[in-house]
Amino acid sequence: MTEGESAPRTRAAARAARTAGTASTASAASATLPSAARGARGRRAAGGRFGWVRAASDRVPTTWLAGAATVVFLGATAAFGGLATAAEPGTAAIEPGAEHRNDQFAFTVESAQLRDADPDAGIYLDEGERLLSVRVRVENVFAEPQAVGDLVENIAIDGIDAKKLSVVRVDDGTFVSRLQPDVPAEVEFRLRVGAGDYRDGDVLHLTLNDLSYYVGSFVMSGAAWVDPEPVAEMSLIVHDTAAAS
Amino acid sequence: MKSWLQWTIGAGLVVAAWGVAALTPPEEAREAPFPVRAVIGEPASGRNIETTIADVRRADRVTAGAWSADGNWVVVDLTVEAVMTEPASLALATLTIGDRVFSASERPKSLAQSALAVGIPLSGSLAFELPTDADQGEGTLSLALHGDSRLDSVIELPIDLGALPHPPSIELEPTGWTNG
Repeated sequence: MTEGESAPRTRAAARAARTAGTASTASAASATLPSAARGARGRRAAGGRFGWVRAASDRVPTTWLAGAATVVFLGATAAFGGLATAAEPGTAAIEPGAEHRNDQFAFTVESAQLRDADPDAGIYLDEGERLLSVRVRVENVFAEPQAVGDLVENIAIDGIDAKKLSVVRVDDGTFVSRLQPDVPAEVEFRLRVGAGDYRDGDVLHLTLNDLSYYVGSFVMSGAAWVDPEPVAEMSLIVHDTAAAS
Repeated sequence: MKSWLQWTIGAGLVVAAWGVAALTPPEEAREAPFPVRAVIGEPASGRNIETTIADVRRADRVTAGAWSADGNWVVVDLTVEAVMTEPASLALATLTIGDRVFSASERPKSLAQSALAVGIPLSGSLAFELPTDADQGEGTLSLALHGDSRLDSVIELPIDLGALPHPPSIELEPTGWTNG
C-alpha cells in the first residue's frame, strides 16, 4: 500500500472516504502516515512466519505485569524481614590466646592477672592498691611505627578507661610508646586498682576493634587510625597471682 | 587559514599541554622537605640542624648501661646540634627500608628526642629495632627537628644494610655534650 494509491485524489473521493464510516476513515488516515504505513507493511510481512508470536504476545495481559512485579517485590521484602529494623552484624566471640589480625596490628590477648607490688618488674603501688594487668602479644603489621595508644583502642576493656592504662614491655619493663613494623613485642596493659575492685576468677569483657586508616586531605594533613569498629568479643578470666601461690 | 596549518598548530598545542603537565611538580612538592645528603664522618648542615654521623653498624645485641636487648639492631653514632634557635630537639629519627619506616627505639636511653643546643654538639647513639628479615637492601636514615618535616631540612644518609659492619654486640654511646 502506498500513499499514492490510498490517499484521496479528489474532493469527491475524500468526501466518499469521510462518509464511508469509521473503519475506512481510520484506514485512510493511517495510510496517510508513512510510519503507520510501514508498520502495517511490517506487520503483514511478519504475519507469515512469526504471526503467532504477535498473536501470543497480544494475549499477554500487560496491565497485570506491574501488579505482578509489585507483588514479587513486596513478597521478597517480606521474606527478608519487611520494614523491621535489621539486626546489626554481630561480633564474633574470640578466645584468649587466639590471634586477631587487622590492617593495623596482629595481636593476641593472652591473660589477665591481679598482682602485688614488685619493684623488680617495675610495679610500684600505694598501700591498698593492686595491679591489674592484661598481657598482649602484638605485632605492628603496618608499614610505619604506630603509637601504642592505638593498640589500646583496638582492645577495649569494659569499665576501664583506656587513657588510664600504661603499656609496658614485658621483657625489659620499658614503657612502650611506639611499635615498629613487623617487630613482635610482648606488652602488658597495666592499671592500678583498689584492693577489692577485682578478685580471682572475675571475668573481664573485652571488645576487639578494627580501626580505619584515614588520610587527611584538603584542610587536614597527615593520617590517623579512626572509627573503632567492634569485631569480636572476649571474656578474660582474672587470675590473682597471690591466690595462686 | 590552511587546513594543514590548523592541524599542525592543534597538534603542537596538544604536545605543549602534555609538556606542561609533565613538568608540573606534584601536589606535595610545594611543601616537601629540603633533603641534605650526609656523608659519614663529615658535618651536614640544614636550616637549624647540624650533624656529623660517625658510624653506622648492625648488631644482634645492644646494651646501654644496665639495659640490653637482643634483636636485629642498627646503631648510628653521631653528634648533633642546633644552628639558629632553641628550643630544638631531635624529634625525627627514622630509618626507611623499602616501604617500611622505623623510628629510633625509645627502649634504650639514646639521642632520640633529645633537646639540642645552639652551637654545642650533643653526641650519642640512635638505635633502630628492625624485624629479623630486614638484613639486606638499601635504606635511608632521616634526621630532623620535627616529626612533621615538611618545608624544613632533613639530613639524609643512604645506608646499605647488607654492607654494614656487624659486630655481635654494641654498647650505645652515652648521650652527652661535647666540646667541638
